[in-house]
Amino acid sequence: MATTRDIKRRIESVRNTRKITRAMELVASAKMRHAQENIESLRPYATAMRRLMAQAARQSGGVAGEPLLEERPTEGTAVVVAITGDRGLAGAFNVNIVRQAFGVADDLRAQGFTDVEFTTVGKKGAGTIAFRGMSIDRSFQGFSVEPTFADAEQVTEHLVRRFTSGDVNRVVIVYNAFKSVLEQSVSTEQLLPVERVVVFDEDGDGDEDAHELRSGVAIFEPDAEEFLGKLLPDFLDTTIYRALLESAAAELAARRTAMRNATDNAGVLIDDLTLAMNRARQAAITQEILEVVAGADALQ
Amino acid sequence: MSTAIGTERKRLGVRLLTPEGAVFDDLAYMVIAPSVRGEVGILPRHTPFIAFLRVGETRLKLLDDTEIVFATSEGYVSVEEDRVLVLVEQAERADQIDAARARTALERAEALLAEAGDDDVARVAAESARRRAENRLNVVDR
Repeated sequence: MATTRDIKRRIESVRNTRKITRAMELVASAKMRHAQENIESLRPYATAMRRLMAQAARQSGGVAGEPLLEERPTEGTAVVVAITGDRGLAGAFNVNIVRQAFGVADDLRAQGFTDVEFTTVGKKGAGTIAFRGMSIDRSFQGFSVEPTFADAEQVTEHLVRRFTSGDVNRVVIVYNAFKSVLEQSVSTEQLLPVERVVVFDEDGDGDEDAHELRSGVAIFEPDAEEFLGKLLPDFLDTTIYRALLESAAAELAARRTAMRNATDNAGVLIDDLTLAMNRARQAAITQEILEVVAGADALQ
Repeated sequence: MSTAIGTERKRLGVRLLTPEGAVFDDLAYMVIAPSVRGEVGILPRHTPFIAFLRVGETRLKLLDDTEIVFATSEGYVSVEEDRVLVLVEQAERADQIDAARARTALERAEALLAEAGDDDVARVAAESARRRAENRLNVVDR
């Protein structure tokens, strides 16, 4: 049976772990609030961007000839972008993404793509996917909890380059969407080619909006076709940036929940151990008394 | 003499948005933005207009005739029913730019550019960083 001192040592160790998990919980919630604010700040920009894109597309009278909108055959190579975190200790956050990414890859193969490559954001995804022997064409890391717009631009630049050069026919992103503090859900979106419904979806509700401009036809500088061509890459930047921000907030929320659970569990463990220690101590005292009494009896 | 000018004149609702949030959201009298086809000045009752902006400076003339200058990166401007929307990646007020910091940013961008070498993705990022840093310095030097 464990001696009092052994149990005491274990309690001390669990207590130290609890200090760490509690600190991580607090740090995660502070950073999460910041990440949530970033999502809020992006929203007006993203909404305005959508409106402009829909207007330009409508006025250019069709979207044919725009390379980023070009329908490609479902064959050849597809890229799955898996957005994970740089660090673990966030519950099932990273695992969910990797699992979903593999599912998406299987679907793409079933649709006729012969090759599926992965682009990863975050150290954790890169590690797991490489370990499973999948091919990673590029891995970005170092900004998972505080992405900047410039980080998003790098990712987009890479993807657009691969798509326009013709060696990739489809790009899909998998990321954790930030629903609320307690809920994150894995989302899958087709990034390239940009789907028609996305281009004409002015208010972001997933439907094509066909209504006319209230104030008639706008003057475009340069003309609407060229304008649309310039705007699309920026729209993709914004899309990726939003995904990165959501993923960052979701990662922090997941970490906060995981650390809160760990802290609670440590508390329960400490209670159990304290009880065990008191029992052991009481047993030792009883034992000692018995010995003293037995000794005294023997003397009489 | 002053008939249309003064209290009578119309106004524009101006929003200057970046991915990091709104930089300006208020009424103004005039917006001057660097379109790809040259600088455009927008006054109230402008016809619907959408343009692509190059890196440069965007000036807002407020109702009390003060002028605010922003160093802006590439972006868009849209005018619709006296509402002007300027969408740019980065916007900084000229009077809040720290010249020394902008200079170090420029040096850093140039170092990154030299380092990027064959890596296209890194080079594009470094080039756009350099262009923005140069623009900040140009606007502040004026």
